[in-house]
Amino acid sequence: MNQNGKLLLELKNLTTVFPTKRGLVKAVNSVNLRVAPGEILGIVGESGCGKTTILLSVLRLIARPGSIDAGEIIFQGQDLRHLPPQAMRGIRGKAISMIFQDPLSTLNPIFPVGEQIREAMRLHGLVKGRGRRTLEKRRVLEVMAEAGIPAPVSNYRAYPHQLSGGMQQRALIAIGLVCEPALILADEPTTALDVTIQAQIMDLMRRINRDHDAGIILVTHNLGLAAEFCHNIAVMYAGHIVERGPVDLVVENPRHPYTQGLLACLPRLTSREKIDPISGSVPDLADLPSGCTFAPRCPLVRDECRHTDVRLRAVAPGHYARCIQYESGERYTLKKEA
Amino acid sequence: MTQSLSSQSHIPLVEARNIKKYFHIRASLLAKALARQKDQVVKAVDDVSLKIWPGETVGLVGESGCGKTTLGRVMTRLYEPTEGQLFFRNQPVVGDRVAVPVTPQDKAIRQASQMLFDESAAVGPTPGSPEEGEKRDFSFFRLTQMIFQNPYSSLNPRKTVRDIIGVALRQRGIKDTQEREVETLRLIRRVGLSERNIDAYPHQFSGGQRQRIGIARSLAVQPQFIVADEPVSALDVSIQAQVINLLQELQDEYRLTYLFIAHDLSVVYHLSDRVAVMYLGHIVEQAETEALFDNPLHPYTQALLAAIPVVDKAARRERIILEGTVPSPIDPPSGCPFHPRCPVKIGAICETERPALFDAGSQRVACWLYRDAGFAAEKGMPMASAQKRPGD
Amino acid sequence: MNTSSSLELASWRHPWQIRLRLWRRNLAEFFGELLQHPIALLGGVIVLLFILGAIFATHITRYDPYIGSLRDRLQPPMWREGGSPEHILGTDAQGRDLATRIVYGARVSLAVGILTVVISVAVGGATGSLAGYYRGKLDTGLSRFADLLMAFPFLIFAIAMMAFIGPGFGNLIFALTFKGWVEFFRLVRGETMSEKTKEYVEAAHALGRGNSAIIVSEILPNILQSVLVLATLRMGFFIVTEASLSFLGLGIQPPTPAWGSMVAEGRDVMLSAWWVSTFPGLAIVFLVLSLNLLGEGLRDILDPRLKVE
Repeated sequence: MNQNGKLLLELKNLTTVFPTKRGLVKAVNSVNLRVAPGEILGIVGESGCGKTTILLSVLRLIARPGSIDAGEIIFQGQDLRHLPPQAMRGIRGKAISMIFQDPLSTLNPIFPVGEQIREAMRLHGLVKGRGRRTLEKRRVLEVMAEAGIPAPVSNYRAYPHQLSGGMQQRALIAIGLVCEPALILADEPTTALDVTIQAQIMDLMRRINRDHDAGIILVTHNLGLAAEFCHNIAVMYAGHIVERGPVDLVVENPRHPYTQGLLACLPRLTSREKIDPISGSVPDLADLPSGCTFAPRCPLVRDECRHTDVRLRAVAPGHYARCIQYESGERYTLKKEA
Repeated sequence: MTQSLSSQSHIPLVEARNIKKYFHIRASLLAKALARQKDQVVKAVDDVSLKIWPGETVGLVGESGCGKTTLGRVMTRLYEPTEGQLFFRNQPVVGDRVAVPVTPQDKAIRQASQMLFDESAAVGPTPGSPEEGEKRDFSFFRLTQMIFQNPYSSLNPRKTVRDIIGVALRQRGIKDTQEREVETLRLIRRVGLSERNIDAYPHQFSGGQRQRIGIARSLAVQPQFIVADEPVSALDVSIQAQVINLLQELQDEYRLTYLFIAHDLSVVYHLSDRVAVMYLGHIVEQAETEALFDNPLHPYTQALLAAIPVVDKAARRERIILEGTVPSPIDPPSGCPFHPRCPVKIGAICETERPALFDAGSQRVACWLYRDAGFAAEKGMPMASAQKRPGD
Repeated sequence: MNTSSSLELASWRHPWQIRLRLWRRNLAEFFGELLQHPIALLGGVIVLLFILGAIFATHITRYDPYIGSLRDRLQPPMWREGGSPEHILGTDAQGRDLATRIVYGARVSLAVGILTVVISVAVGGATGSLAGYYRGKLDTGLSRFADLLMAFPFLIFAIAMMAFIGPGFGNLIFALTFKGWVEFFRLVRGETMSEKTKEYVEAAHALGRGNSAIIVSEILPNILQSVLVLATLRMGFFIVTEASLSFLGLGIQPPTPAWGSMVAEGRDVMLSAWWVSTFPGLAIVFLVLSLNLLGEGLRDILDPRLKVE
C-alpha cells in the first residue's frame, strides 16, 4: 500500500439515479471514495444499499433509464465520466476489470473458457502482428495457471458447465486478470461459493493484489470477509457512505450507529449471547426519510436527526462517520482532511 | 434446553437410523447407445444415523452437495429414504404415519401451552382424551415441519397470507372459519407481522417478512420438530439477526426441537446445542457445539472452521486452504470420502476403508486418526503444522 | 385459543366477503394496468363489441340473415354510387344485407372460437397438469401422442378430419379441438413441471396436503395466467381456421352466415361486386387482430417475469 503516492481512483460526489414509477431513486448518493494503487477497499452494506451501483458507475455500465447524475470519477488522473464511449470501452476490462457474483451467468456457455479469456485479450489488441494467436494462447495459459486452474492446457478447451463453481470463478478472475488491470472491481465474488472454496478464491485475490500491486474494490455483504481481506472499509446505507476508514478502526471501534448495529447483530464465534438485531428494515429508496436516512432505525436517534443534513466527518485520522453526533465536532477536535 | 423435558430425554424425539437416500439419474436410450452413458446413482445421503433429543437444536453443517438438505427432507418425510428407518419417540415412521404412545408429559405440556399434541392431530377410532400409554396414530406431517431457505419461492405467489396460513390451520383440523381467523391473527402477530397485511400477497413483503410468514405457516400445525433448511442465509445481516432471535424465542415458548441446516458456521455456533458435520453424504463429526468449535477433530471440520472469515481477530484461526473441490456424489472416492483433499492423510487405510464414527472423548468423529479413541482426547488436534498456511 | 379480543371479532368477516373484496381489488388493479396498455385495451374493446354484436344481433339489424330480396341483389355499400343507407355495406348475390350477415356471422366465429378454446383448455389443462405432475408412463404416452399430433399441419389435419367426419358445427368443434388441446397440454405440462420443483409445493407436502389438492389449489393458480394469454391468442387462430374450412366448404354450411363461406360466395362476383367478399374478410381480420393485440397485452400485464423490472 503506498498511500502517499498518486491515487488510483477517486470518486467525488458521485450520484447515480434511477427514475422509477414511484419517483427518483438515488441508488448512490454523493459518494466520495479513494483507492490508492495496491489498496484493497471493501464496500459493505445490505442489499439495495447501492454498493454494486458504485462499481457499475465506475465502469459507466449503468443501464438506462438509470444515469450518473453528478460527480466525478477520476481514474489515474482522468475523469471517466466525460470520456467518449470509444475510450471508455478501452478502459473496461483492460485498466479496470470486473468480477461478478455469479460466474455461470457471466461466462458464455457456448464458448470454451480458454477462448473467453483470450477474447478479453484480443479485444484490447494487446498482442499484435504475426503469431498473435500463439502468443495470446501462451499468455492465457499463464493466467489460467496463475488463477489456480489446474491443467490449463486441457481446461482451455473446457466449457463453463464442465467446471465446478470455484473453477468458474477462477476462470472469471483469469478474464479479469489477463490484461493486467490497475484496478479490479469484485462484486460479491465468493457469495455463490462454499466457505472452503471462498478461502481459496480470497487467497488468490490477495496474491494478485500483492504480486501486481493492483487496487481492488471488494463489494460484499459479509463483514467478516471484508474485515479479514481489506485494508480500508466503507459502510453503505441507503445510498450513502455512513462510515469509512482503516479496517481495524471501523471494525473494532465503529463510530456510526449503523455500523455498530451491524457488528452487534453478527453471530460471533466468540460468544453465544443473544444477538441484538437492528430493528425495522431498510427504507424504500424512492421514499427516503428526510435528514439522516438511518434515523428511523437508530437507537440513538434525536429530534434533530430527522431534519438535519449530515456529512461524513473525521472522527479519527482517516476514519470518518456520517452521524450528527460528530457534526458539531464537540466530541472530536481532530483536524479535518481536505 | 435439553433439560426441559428431562424425564423423557432418554428417548430421542426423532431418530434417523442408517438412512440412505440415493437418487437415480437415468440415461436415455440414445445416450446409452451413442455416448455409452450409464444410469447413475447419486448417493446424496449414505448411511447416516442421527438422534435428536427433545428440546435441543442440532446444527447440520457442510458445503453444498454434502447431503444436508436431503437428510433434512428425509427427516421431515418429504423424501422417502432409500434404506434405513426414521423413528419418532422410538416408534417407526411408516409411510407418513407414526403411532406414538401418549406419555404423562404430553398431557402436562398440553395443559401448559395448549400447543403440543392437540387431539385433532390424531386420526382413527380413539376420540376423547387418551389414556396414558395408549398409542395414537399421527400424521408425521403434523409432528414435524420445515422452514425453507428461499423466502421467495417457499410461499405461493398467488395466495395471500391469510390463505397460506389458513391452509395450514385446516390441515391441523380447525374447521371453523372464525376460529381459523383468530388463530391466523395470533400467529401473524406472534412472528412479528402486522395483521393489517393479512390480505397481502408474498411479493408485497420483504425477504425477512416472508421468512416470518413461512415460520408462521410451520407453527400453524403445532409441530414438535422443525427442520430449518438455511432459514436465514438468503437474508441481510440485520434481518438475519431478527429471524434468529425469533426462532430462539419460539423454541423456548413452544418447546420446539430444531434441526438447523446451514453453511454459515457462526449462525450454527450461535443457535445449536450440538453440531453434526456432513461431507459427501456422511456425517464426519458430531459433538456438542462448544467442544466442536473449541477442538475440531476431523481434518475437514478443522478446515471448514478455519475458512470462515470473522470480524474478531481473536477468533481467527490459521487458515487451512483445502485443495480441490468436493468430489461428485455420483462417483464418490473409495475409503474415507475426504481422503483426496485431506492434508493429514495417514496412509493406505484412508483410501481403502471408510472410517466409522469413532468415539473420541465426548466427540464422535469418522477419521482413522481417532481409531484409538483415547488419543484424540489427550493430544488435541493432531494436525501436521507444515500443512497450514498463514492466513495473513 | 381464547386469545381473541373483541376487536378481532368486530372486524371479523365471513371468508367469502374477504374473497370478494380481494377479487375486487385484484380486478381494479388489472384494469388499472390495462389502461396503461392502450393497444391491448383497443383490442379488448373491439373484441367486446363483436361479442355484444353477436349477442344482440337481432336487435341491431331488422333484416333476416337468410332471406333477401332478389330485387336488391348486389347493391354496393351506401357510400358508393348506387348504394343506399338501407344496406350500409351493400347486399350479396341473393340480395341479403351484408352487414346483417356479418353480425350474425360473428355468432358462428365467436361460438367456434370460444367453444374450441374452452374444450381445449379443459382437455389440455387436465392432461397437462397430470402429466407434468406425475410424469412417468402417463406423461410419456400423452407426450408422444401430442408430438404425433404436432407433426401435422393444423389446416391440413382439420381438412382431412372434416372430409372424413363430414361438415357441421359439432364436427367442426371436434376437429379443431382434436388437435387444439395439444398447445395447452404442452404449456400446462411444462409450467407444472417447473412449479412442482418450487419450495412452496414442498411446503404444501410438508403440511400433509394431498396431490390433487396441491395440483388444483397450489399449482394451477400459478399457471392460469399463462393459460389465459395462450387461450386468447389461440382463439384468433381457431377463428381463422374455422373461416378457412368454411371457405373451403368443409366447415359451416350455407346458408348459415359464416365469414369464411361468405368470402367464398363473393368469389364469383369478385370483379363486379368486390364488397361481398371483402367485408366478411375484413371482419375476420379485425376480430383476429384484436384478439392477438389483447393476448399480447395480457402477456405484458400478467406475466410476473416481465413485471419485476
